[in-house]
Amino acid sequence: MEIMLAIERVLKLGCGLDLKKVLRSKRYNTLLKASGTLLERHPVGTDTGTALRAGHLEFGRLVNTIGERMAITAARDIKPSFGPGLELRPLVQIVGERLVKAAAECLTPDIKALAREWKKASADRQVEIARTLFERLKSTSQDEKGELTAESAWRGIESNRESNSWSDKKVLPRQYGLWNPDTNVANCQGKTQMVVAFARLAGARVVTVHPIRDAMKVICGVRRRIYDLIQYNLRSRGITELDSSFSSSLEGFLIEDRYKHSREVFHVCVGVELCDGRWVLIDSHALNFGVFPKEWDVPTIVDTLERYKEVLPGFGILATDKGLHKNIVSRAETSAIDLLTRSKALERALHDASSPNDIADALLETGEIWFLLKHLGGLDDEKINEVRSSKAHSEYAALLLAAGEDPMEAMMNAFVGGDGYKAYLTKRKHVALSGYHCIAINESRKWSEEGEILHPECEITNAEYSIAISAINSLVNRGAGVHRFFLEYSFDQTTMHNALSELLPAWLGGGRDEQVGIAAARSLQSLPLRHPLCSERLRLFRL
Amino acid sequence: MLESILETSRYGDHLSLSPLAKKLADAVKAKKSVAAALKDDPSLMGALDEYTEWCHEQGRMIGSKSSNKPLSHESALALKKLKLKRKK
Repeated sequence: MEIMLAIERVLKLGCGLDLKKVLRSKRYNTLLKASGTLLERHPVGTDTGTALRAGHLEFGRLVNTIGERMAITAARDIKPSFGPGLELRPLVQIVGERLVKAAAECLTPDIKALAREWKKASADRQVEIARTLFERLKSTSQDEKGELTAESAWRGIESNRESNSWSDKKVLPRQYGLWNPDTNVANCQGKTQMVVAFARLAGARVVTVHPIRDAMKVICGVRRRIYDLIQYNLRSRGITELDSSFSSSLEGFLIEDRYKHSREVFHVCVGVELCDGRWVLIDSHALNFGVFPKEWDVPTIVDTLERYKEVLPGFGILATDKGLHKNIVSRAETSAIDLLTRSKALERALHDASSPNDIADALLETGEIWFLLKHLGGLDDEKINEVRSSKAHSEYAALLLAAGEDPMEAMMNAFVGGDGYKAYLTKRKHVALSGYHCIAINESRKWSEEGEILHPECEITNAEYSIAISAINSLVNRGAGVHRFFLEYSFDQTTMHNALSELLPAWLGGGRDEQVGIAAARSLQSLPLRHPLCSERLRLFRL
Repeated sequence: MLESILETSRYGDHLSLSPLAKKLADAVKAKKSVAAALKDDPSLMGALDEYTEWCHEQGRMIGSKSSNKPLSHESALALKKLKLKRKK
């Protein structure tokens, strides 16, 4: 009952459709007819017939723990405790299809034009189009204007909490409406619906991707190690006179790091197939983009999903980058150590500098001015060559760093002399030397958007069906039978996480269907990869 | 303010969990049961509703809306001005 009410609301509020009309539609009747002959068309003894009879929960668990071939053998002997989830399957599928159709109406004309272009584009051009789409679906609050400060970090946390607060508007196309980066409230589900709609318009194969481990989390871990390394380096070298913007950024970094580190959420994004058979990940919500390296073997995973799509549409397969992301940690550390060595070399060159001019000369003589122009100033090689060719301009750049932004301040300090002047010089040296520390921590900043790292552990699912399950899960009231419905109709970790609440004691509202909770716990415990929220809940329930 | 984030951050998304509910959650973890936690410290009863709600909270796909601002540095700001001046 609760499920039907949720489906009715999803259709009404999300697509402007009446459930009764949908049930009378030609498409629904086609799906219903196909569903009615499933057992006949997939007889006992066939792989798909075995999967169908084992059901989502059992077959999903087996495939993700012992692999497809052994799963087929094992599933033949199973007497599943749960139904195969047949009755409402056509309805779930059509809800997903209608949500995607409604989401297509939310795409702006330029995005629709990109979808048209995709059809005739080369694979490389398709990657560019996917990147444009990724950029277009970023919200304004995610833009990179300005630098990280303690204040911007707090603002970011507030904005994040607001965007993660719950509202139907964020997951239903007719509610979030036409895409507008300033005002559209679509969350990861909403953005996923729009990207899937884009892929359908473009005629590309598409899957939904549910990160078990977030790329940004990996990068956070790397950056935190770099942060610790640079803090130790600054302290041990006595570099104490940091400029106020860098100090504030470091404070902001720590605030942001603590917040990001502590947050775990369920998330969804999209994989789209390119015309050369590769797949690209598009995640404008958690800022992750890139072509899947071959180690993922996405084509095989999608082929498996499609092989069982008709018999188990809610089936999800775990996939990983096979440890590729670990390379990033050592690469980042090596790079940071190189930068700190460079800073140390400059420190030696600055040792006898007793005026801003001396500092500027050292920057020019060591050539470090060019490195700093490129990596701190963001100048490309062409611009640097321009500056280099104009001697006056290169000296000006060096002096700018050596004397600070206000040349009058430098003159005044030089004029006054004494301790004030010494402190001024120390500060100028420390500012120049700590530039490398800033570069070190910023280097990994955009890796998640530049294809260097993708969400390293994911569940991959069929797009429309999964979109429907997520939307129903978002709107449903958790009455009796709800968790059982999800376990029968979908194999995913969000569903299993929620089903665990049946293991709460009755006086805390659990215990209505302990079998559901036990089955979910059993599946989760056997999986090689678990979402941190699932692990946390298993711990909480002492499982 | 940072301290309060650090204190509550272990509860993930539940930054708004009240101190009493947090205390109850800690006690439940330590005692391995809600009943035992409440028996030892009846004052925690006041947070039971909040704690129960937290336990019941269902997973939904909300994602984590990220942004990616760079760390700032005086030299970077100065050199960027140089770049702008050249553009003009």
